[in-house]
Amino acid sequence: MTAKPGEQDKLLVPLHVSYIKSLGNNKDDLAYHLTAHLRMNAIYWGLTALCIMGHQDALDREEMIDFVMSCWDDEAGGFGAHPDHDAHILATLSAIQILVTQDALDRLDVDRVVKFILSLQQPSGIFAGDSFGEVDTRFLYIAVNALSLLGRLSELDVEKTVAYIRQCQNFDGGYGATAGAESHAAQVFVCVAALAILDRLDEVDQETLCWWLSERQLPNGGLNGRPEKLEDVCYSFWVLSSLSILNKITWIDSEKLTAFILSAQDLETGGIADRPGDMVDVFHTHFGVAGLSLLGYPGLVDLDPVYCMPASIIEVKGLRKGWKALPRRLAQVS
Amino acid sequence: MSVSTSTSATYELLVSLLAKCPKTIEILPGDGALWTHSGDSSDEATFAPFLFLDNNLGIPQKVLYQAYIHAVGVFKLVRKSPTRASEEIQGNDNSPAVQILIDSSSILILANPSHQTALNARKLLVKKQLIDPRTELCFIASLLSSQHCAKHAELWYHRRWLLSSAYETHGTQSPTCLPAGAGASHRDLMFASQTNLQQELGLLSRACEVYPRNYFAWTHRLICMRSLLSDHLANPSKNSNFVVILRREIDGIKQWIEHHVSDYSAVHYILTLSRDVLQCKTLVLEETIDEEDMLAHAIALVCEYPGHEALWLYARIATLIFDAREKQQIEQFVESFVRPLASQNSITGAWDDVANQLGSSEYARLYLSKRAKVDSSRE
Repeated sequence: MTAKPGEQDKLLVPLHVSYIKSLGNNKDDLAYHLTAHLRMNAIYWGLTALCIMGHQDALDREEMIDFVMSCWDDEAGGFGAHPDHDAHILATLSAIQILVTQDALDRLDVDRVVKFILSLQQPSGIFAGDSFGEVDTRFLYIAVNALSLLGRLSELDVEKTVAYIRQCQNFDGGYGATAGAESHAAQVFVCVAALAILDRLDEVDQETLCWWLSERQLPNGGLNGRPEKLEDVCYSFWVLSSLSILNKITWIDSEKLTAFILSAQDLETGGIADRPGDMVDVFHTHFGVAGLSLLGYPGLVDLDPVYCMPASIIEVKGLRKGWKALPRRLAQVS
Repeated sequence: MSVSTSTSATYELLVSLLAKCPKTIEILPGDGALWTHSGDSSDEATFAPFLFLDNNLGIPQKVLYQAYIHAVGVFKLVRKSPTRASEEIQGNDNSPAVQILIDSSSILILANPSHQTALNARKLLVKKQLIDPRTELCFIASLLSSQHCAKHAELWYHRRWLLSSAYETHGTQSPTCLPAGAGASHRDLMFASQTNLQQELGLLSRACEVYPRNYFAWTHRLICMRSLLSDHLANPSKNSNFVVILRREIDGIKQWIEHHVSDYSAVHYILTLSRDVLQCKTLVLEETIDEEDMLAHAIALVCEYPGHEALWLYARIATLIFDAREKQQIEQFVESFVRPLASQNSITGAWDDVANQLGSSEYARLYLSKRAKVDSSRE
C-alpha cells in the first residue's frame, strides 16, 4: 500500500465519495449482474453513506428517482430490486427510504404499497418477503419501518407483531431470524428496532441482551455477529445500533472499534471491506460509516440507529425515539 | 479448452449436467486447469470444461460466470415474451418457453443462490405442475451440497416450500400440534419415509460441514425436528418411532459438538430442541432428554476446552434449562472448576489456542455473574 503515515487513522471521505460515485459505471460487469438482485438496497446504502459523510448531492437525484420508479412492479404493488425483478419487501423498504431521503414521496402510490406490505403479515404475526411466503424477522422490521415512514403504522396489528418477536427471544436474550433460530446480531437489530418503533422495548431482557451484545467485541476491537465467528465491519452497525437504542453504547470499547473500522478502508480505491485486506463493497462501506457516526466520529452527520437514515430526516417526521449515540467529537488539529 | 468452446454450447452442457441431479457440486477456482488433466480419458473429453465423475460435478468458476451472463439474457428474454412468463406458460406443457425458463433459472440460481426472481419462476412452474416437486427437491439438494450455495436462506426456504406442499392450492394442511413458541408459525414439513428423513438430515450435516456454523441449515434442521415432534403429538401411538429418532439425533449432535467445539449453532440447536420437547410435557420424551444429560456433557466439555465461548454458553444455558433437576451437579462444577478459574489472572491460559477469543478466566467470571443474577432473581 502506498498510504502516507497516519492516513489509516482517518476516515478518507473524498475517496469513499468517489468510490460510491463510481459504482454505477460498469453495467456490463459480471459483478453488476451478480448483484442485480440487491441493486435497490445498494443505492440506499450508497445514498445513506453519502448523506452521513455530508455529500448527499454526489449522486444525481433525478436519475436515482427515475431508477427507483422503473423498479415498480405494478402487478404486485411493490418494488423489485431491479427493473426485471419481482417485487419484494426488501427492495420496497429501500425504495421508500430513498424516496424519503430525496424528499420525493409524492412519486409513490402510498395506498398500494401499504396494501402490499400489510398483505404479507402471517397469522403468527411475522411477515413474508413476498407472496411466496418466506418469513424472517427482517421482513417484520421492514414492514414496521416502512409503515412508520409512510405514517400508516395505525393500520398494523401491533399486538400480533410483538407476540411474534416475543417467540423469537432466546436464552441469551437475543433474537433470531424466526422463532427458535439462533441469536444473530443483525436479527437482534431488526427485532430491537421494530420494538423501538412500536414503543415496546419493555419486551427486551435488556441486561441479558446487552451482555451478549458487548461480548461480540473481540480483542482486536472488531465485532462479530455470533459466538466464535470472525469480526466483520457490518456488525459495527448491527451491534452498535441495538446498544444505542437500549442506551448502552458505552458497553463496548469505542476507540478500539473505531480503529478497527478505519483499518478496513481501502486506501487506494476507497470503500470499506468486511475486514482489513479484503475487497471493499458498498454494503460494508455504508455500515462502516454508519457505525462511525454512532461512535461520534468527527465531521460526520448523525445517523438514526432505529431507521438507519439521517437523524434530521427522522426528527422532521416526528419519529425520533429515545436512542443515544456517543457525542460527536471535534476534529483533532494535527 | 474452455476458450475454444462457445458460450452457448457450454451453457447447454452445464444445463444438461445439472439436470442429472449430481450427488455433489463443487465450484473449482479459476478456469479449473489445476483439476483437469490433458484429456487422456474419454469422459473428460465428453464433459469438458466440466468435471463429471461418479455423478459428482466440478464447475470452473470462470466458466460458471460466463454461463451466468448468458443465462441472464436468456431468462430476461423468455420472461418478457409476450407479457410475463407466468401468464404465457399457463396450461401449455410443451411450450419451449417453459424449458428455457427451467434451464436458464437453474444456472442463475447455481451462480447466484439469492436470485429470488429465478426461484419464484420455478415455484410458479411447480405450482402449475410443470416441474415435478420431487425433481425440484433433487435439484436443490445438488445445489446445497456445494459450499457456495449451502449458506443461502433462500435455498433452504425453497426446500421447505416444497417439503410442506405449499404449492398445493387446496392443501389439507392440518394445524401444527406444537405449543406456542415452538414453531407454531411454520407449516409442518412432510417426509414420505424414514429414508427421506435420513437423507434430509444427511444433507444438513454435509451443509454444516462444508460451511461451519451454517445458520440457515441449523434452522432448517430445527424446523424438520419440530415437524416430526408435531406429528408425534398428533398421534403418539402411531408415531412412537419419534422417541428413537430423538435419541439418535441428540446423541449424534452431542458427538458433533465434541468434534466442532467452536460451533455454537449446534449447541443452540440441541438446547432449543430440548426446550421444545420439554415444553410438550410428555413423560416418555422428558425421560429421553433427561437420559441424554446435556448439562453433564456441557460441563465435561468446558473442563476440557475452557477457551471456547461456544462451550461456556452451552454450560450457561444448560444450567438455565436443567437448573431445577440438576442442582447438585451445577454446584460441584461451580465450586471445583469455575471459581478457581475465575480467580486466576486474565492472562490467556495454555489451553487457549484460538487467538481471537477472550481468556478462559473471563468466561468463568461471566458464568458466575450470570449465575448470581439468576439466583438473585429467584429470591
